Amino acid sequence: VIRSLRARHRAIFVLLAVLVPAGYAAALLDRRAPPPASVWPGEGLPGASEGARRTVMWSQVELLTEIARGDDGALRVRALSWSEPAPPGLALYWSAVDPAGDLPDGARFVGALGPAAREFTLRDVAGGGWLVLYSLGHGETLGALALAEEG
Amino acid sequence: VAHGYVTVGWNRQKRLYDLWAVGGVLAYLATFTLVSLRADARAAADTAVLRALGTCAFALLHVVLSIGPLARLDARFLPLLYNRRHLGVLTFLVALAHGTFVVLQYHALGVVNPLLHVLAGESPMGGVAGLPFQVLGVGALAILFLMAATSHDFWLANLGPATWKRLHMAVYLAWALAVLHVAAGYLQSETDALPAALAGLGVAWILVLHLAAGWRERALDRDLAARGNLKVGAGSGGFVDVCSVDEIEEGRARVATLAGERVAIFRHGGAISAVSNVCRHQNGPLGEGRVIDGCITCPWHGYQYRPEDGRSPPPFTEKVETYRVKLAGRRVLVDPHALAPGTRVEPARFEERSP
Repeated sequence: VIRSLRARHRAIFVLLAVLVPAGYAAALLDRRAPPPASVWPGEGLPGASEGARRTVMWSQVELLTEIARGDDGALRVRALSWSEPAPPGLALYWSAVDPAGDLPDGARFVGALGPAAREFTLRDVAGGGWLVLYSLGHGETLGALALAEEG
Repeated sequence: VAHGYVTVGWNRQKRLYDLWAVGGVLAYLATFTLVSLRADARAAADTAVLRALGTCAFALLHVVLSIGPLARLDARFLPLLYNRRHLGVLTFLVALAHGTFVVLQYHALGVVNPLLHVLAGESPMGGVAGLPFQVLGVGALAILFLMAATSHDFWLANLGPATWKRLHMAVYLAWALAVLHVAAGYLQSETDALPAALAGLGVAWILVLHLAAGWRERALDRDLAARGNLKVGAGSGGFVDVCSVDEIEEGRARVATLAGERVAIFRHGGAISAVSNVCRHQNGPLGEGRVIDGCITCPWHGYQYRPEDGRSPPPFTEKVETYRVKLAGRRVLVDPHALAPGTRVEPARFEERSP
């Protein structure tokens, strides 16, 4: 009995020695480059008072944002509050094209919304574009905000 | 030795073992969380704890899976084997805490039932990385639960050691699922090379260790079988010439493979007795144990058997197969046919040589 268990153990590990490294390597090789992270402002929003402050109604989340263009040309976004319960994994993206429906290819990851993550800086977005609210948990776009007015 | 049903047969060693294990886990969780928060100012505390629990469960699973082959390769690791099941249960509990945190943080705030949402296995990744890593994690957790739930001696006694061992081999599947869960999940968004390298090293470590131990056991089986088969002497009545009395250390055993199974031949106080090498408790190697207080004592958990009849001393009821033994001069001859567990066999006696 013990001998057959030992033989089974050997057979299992011969099989695992092929399958597990193959699966592990395939998963790592298929990794995609992470989206560029936003620059995290250490302090508040310089010049924020000069920017537009508006309440934005997303499709499912009432997100109150404060948006301002700084002297350096960077767009600063502060998420003041959003309604709860919200879909899981709220994340902000910036898109150069109108994100009608799915998250567009090339959308740039700005940051994930959370208790300690509310302020973001977007550089090189002088042309406006759209700020996109996306649920990583549900994999769906919740809404978009045109930034042209702040440009 | 088991007697009746007790939740846990605590003793000082088990308490110390568990104290170290739980203390080690708490120290790891605290260190990982604090280092994560200090290293990345944007990191949220709940995410750091979630990752600490996940990496802790993954590392613990590797430790648990290392103990068995390490003990086979080097007897110095035997003390770790003593309470390995508690370490396995601890692994499940840490993995369960990780899973609970994940459900609360990523799946509980939507309109879909959180558990259904986990099983839906949605992933923003494509290709191989689009594996439903949440489902892989749930599968590994379910197997770890099965292992933990059946880890008690109650199940060992009711299922029997062989069936129990077969069932608990599912932990290897849990390990494979956990590796793929990490590779298709956490490592997809991790840009630092260190976590991927550490996980890869862990995979290589487990595979090499188990393959090395497996091959060593196979070589040992073949060697023991070859030695035994070659020594079936003519006119010996089917008895196998195993070794000389002088080749067995007092209170210890010589192991031989007879009729496909390992037999432990013990020398004890001027007598030779042979019993199955397989302990009734968890299939531990009796032949690697010693005779203590007149009883063969398993090196894994201390289960004891009398050499002459393979029975545990009263009030305990475990018993192992015995083998007929005789001497030709100082050569030890063993009948390769096992007798029913607990069958009394008169030990073969010999004259001790004066030193």
